[in-house]
Amino acid sequence: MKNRFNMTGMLFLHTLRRDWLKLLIWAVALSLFTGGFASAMYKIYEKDPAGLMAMYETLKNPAMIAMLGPTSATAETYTVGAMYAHEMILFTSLVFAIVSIMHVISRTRKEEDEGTTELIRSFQVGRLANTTAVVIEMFLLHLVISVLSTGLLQVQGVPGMDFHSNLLYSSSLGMQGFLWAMIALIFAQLAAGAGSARGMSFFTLGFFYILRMVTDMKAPDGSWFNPLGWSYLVNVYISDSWLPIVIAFVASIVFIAVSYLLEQVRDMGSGYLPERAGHAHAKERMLSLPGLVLRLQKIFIIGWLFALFICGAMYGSIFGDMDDFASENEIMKQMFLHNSDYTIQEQFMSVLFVILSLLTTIFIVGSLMRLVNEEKKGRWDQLYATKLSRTKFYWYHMIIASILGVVGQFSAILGLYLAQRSVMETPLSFWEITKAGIVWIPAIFFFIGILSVLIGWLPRFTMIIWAYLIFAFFISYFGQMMEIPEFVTNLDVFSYIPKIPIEEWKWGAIIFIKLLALFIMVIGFIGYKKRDLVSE
Amino acid sequence: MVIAEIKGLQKKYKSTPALKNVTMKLKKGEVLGFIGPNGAGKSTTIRILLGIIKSSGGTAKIFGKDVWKDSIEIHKRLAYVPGDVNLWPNLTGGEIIDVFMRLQGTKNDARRDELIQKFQLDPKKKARTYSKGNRQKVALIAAFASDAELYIFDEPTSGLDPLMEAVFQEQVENLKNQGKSILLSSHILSEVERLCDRVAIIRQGEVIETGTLDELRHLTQYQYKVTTRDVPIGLKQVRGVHDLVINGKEAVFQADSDQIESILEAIIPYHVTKLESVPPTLEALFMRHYTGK
Repeated sequence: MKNRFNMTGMLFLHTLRRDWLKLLIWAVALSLFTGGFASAMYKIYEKDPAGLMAMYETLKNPAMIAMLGPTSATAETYTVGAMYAHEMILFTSLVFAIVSIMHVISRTRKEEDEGTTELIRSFQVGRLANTTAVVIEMFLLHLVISVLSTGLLQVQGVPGMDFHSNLLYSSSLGMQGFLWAMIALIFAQLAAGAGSARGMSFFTLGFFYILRMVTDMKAPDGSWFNPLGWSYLVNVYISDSWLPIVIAFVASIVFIAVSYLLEQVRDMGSGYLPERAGHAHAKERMLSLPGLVLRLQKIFIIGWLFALFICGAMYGSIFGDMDDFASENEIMKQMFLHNSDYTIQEQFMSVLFVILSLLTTIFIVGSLMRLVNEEKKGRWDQLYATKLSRTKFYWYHMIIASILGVVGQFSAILGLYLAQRSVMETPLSFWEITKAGIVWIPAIFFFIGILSVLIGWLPRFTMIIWAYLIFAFFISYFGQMMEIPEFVTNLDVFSYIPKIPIEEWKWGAIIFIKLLALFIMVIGFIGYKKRDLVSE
Repeated sequence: MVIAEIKGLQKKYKSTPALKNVTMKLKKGEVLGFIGPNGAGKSTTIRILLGIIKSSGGTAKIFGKDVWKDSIEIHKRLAYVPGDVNLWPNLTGGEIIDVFMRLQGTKNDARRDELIQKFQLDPKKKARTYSKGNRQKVALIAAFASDAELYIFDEPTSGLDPLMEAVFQEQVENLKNQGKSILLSSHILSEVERLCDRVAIIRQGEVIETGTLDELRHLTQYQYKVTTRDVPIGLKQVRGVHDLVINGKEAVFQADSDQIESILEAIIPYHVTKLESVPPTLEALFMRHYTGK
């Protein structure tokens, strides 16, 4: 029996040595994400009980409950803390779950697929040792995050958010991270490979998210049977219950036991669920370069278009309550009502498209990045040995990325349009929203241009594009609140785009940015045409 | 007719040279074996021939065209199997074969299905489940089913079992009979010995020997085994005899191929009753070039 765990300690240290930097970054980022915004939120609402109540009403509308989950608070107990937890806890749980699933699968099933596990197992290493090492790693990671987040909340010293509640809030999220790690562990045993293990884990996450939408609205008690429900059911900052955490902990232990049982009796490299046989021959539409590229990115593209639609819809669904909200909230009044020529929705829309466009940009950068990532993995070698020219390779990718940029933006526009139409008495027209959305497309193209130069000239440093994206995000998001020197803001291409409808449409800037994007794509092409292919 | 002509090819990475001087020729209808140890520059040479990387000096032409500038024209007429076959994990083997064939420009479903059967590949499985050998089979099936004039194989059989290797050899012979030209880079010397008309040996980025097997052998030593009635003591003094071992009336030695005449004259007086001569294996040639023995 003991032999099954032989060398667990050593493997744990080995895993830690490989992951420490990644884990450190996560621990800091996730705890900042969890506990970082409390005092900012408190500042907005501290002297504004009416605004808080408006928020309470907004968050009680069915669309918001569907997205963020319910709150057990009444008008009397809806404090800043209660609101903070309500807005954060379910969404943060999703982030924790996604990170955990990715990591656990890559450290268990993926290694098995790659053959690393086989080598490790040939030593005097127990059958369950690697899994146990990952379990310990995930437990410690989430313990550290819970402690850091509690400390962070404590330091901010927001009145009404005391130590006990802060600890509960942080533990609840840490617990979610660990819980989903253990759920992923089960799928790592069941599935026939890392890809399907990941797919099944995410499917399960999505399933429970949608299931709780239904139960939260129709039968709130049903959410007790939902792992995601165990996050917000702690009713933190309202009635503080540890019961859901106890349940989640017990469930995690059960999941570990189940995955141990499954792993002990299965052959390495095999799973319990049969891999569905694929097609013996390719469909006609896959047999061209654009067709192949789209096929390879199918899931990625569909996932992003759906996510952009949902994000648009999320923003759109709060349009209906904005009038009440803004008339009662002092800060909102200051932010939005200074321009009486436009409705509050129009003003809000002009700002929120910055965010939606940045999301579309992430999608496009991720898609175009495949051009160089596939190259590094050696998967283009055989295609380069055919009559396909580099010219075609490059420009097909550019064209696909550009089209996807436009389609992505329209997906967000459509989500926004449909949602606001269902909640507003006099909804904005599709054309008004489209104008506000498509004005950002040149900026998205500009990102394609920058990445193409990197791909053409610095294929090993394409990651730089993410730094520029984070920079643009930072400037666009916080630029107005902070004093940022103008020359810095000027480096952000998004700052040149007119905010429709409150600013005027500028053909000059729009056409200029588009031409500039095209020009740098050509520069990238010159480099791409003459460089060596790279491999990892 | 010359299919591929490579002269003084060089490749430098930063300042370290990967290829110093690669010179070789592939004629029409010929199988050229390209042998050398790991890291000698076989794959680098092939990648230059395919226009995937750019040479830093020398010339390389296929079908009389420059491999970098006219790569597309060249690629229309060739098929390639890389040493490391990397496939898209979420596509099936069958799908990938179809993609490769279409992009190469051939449509021949009957031939494809015949090869799938011969190589015993399950085309319905996702590529992520394939072993190295199965990934190689995917690339090999696509290449053999393609209609090309030049086939380039970069260590194509390193993951295949002996049965599959036999199928590979059969297919290469098949191509040869059709008058196709083949560049075969390989570690497996018996395979090269069996299939190749000519051989190029590369060491540390330099082709140090090219020629037919016979020509190469001529430069080196044959092994002789003689049985005589008297102990052939005199062999010790003969020029061109190496590694002589005399065991009673039996003697085994290596003989320089240009000294055969005088050696034979020297053993005749000992009354030869049996004489065997063994041409050096490619392995022996190879070892001689690499270890100096």
